[in-house]
Amino acid sequence: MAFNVLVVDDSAVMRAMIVRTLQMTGVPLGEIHQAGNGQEALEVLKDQWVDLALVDINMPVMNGEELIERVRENPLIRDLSVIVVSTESSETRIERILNQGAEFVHKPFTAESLRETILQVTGVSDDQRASVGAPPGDDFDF
Amino acid sequence: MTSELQSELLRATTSTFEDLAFAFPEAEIEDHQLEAPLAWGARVAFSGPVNGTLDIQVTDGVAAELAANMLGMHDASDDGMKRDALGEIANVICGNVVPSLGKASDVFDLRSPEVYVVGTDGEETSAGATRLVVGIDGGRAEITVRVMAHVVEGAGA
Amino acid sequence: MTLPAMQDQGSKIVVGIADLRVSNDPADTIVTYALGSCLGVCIWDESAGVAGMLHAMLPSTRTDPERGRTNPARFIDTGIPALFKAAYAMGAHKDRIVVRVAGGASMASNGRKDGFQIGKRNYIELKKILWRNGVIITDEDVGGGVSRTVTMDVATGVVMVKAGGQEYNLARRFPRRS
Repeated sequence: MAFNVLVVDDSAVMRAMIVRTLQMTGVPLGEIHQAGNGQEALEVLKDQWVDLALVDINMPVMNGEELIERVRENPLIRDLSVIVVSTESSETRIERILNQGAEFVHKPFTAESLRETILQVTGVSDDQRASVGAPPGDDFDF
Repeated sequence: MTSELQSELLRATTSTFEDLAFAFPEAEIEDHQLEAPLAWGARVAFSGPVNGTLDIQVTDGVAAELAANMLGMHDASDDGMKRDALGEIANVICGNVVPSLGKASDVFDLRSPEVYVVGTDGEETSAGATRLVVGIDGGRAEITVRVMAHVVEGAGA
Repeated sequence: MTLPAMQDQGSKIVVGIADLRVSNDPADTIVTYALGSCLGVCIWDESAGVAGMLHAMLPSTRTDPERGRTNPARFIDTGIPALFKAAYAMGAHKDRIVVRVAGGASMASNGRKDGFQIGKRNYIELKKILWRNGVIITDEDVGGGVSRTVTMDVATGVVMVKAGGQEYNLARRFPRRS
């Protein structure tokens, strides 16, 4: 199977970094959707089947915490796997996130640390990975 | 608190530059790095038990290098990429610095970064500000944290 | 007169300082000694049976581009492309290559601080070039203040690190930073 993924962050550069890391994990990927805030993410989730969402916390319009609450309230999408990728350090907020059944990766992250959490959440084993993975690109040296 | 904030600012800046942008910030700055003009700035406002702002200002070359490194490219001379990369760097440094202004349980909210062109019309007052300057390759980054107001505990009760 | 026994025993390939080697002989082992602030980068493609190792001293050719041309293995930014290309020439493919890294120590001596932080710079430069080229590190043992000797078995890709009187398998030590 291939995973459909939704990346939610108000920074286009950050979304690009997360997508690049996803492509380097070797996890089989289906469609990759992007959203700039929680509201846009809910719009995507209305129309598209998504298996995994990577979500920032501090975003305009609707923050990541509210997005996760809305997802958990909706019977159609409440089982969505969520990884929060955020600078958040407040114990209070991190506990609330974990209580919503989301994993947490602290920013700044390394590609290696984010990969570990993605592999853990997707449950993709080494045998199931198509390869180590490499993103498409035209700026390669080798 | 100021010296703790200063060391947290250095720690957050170093790890953000290294992990997110593969850049090595140097505390010892050479003359040519100091003389290079600052071109781009990004400001993140935060609110919580303490309100304030974090600004980062960088030379044009540093903005381009951060963007190129983050996006995995050789060059990123496009202004849109520089702006977005610098804004995200400001956001991540700020998010990692503000916990030192409160207790571990405190919640801070960060506004989206506002990116601007650094003007030549004089410096903002830096009274009460905590500041860090680091060299990066041929340029530098200046990061300033301003704490605006302390919310008095129990006020309005 | 023939020397039959010698053919299949394989050999120990020593990677010198500012050097890189690749092999597709499953009987070979590749070794590099005394990695301080230098980085030892090991790559392995199981399907192709190809292994390679780089022992690079400095991060970037920016300060010395001419030397980068004459001895690419001296620098991370020229050594990494040279290492991967040498492995490709033996049939390795980028999207199958596993990368294991050791070294990059902070070698302060006689109480003097490690002002230039070459080990850390080497590591950041490595991360930068790997990120740009879509390659992720599988296992690493970097930083700290110890000198490391690294051995890789071409047949299995197993990387053993000897440091501070101990020897251990580099696999599954990730994530570990210092």
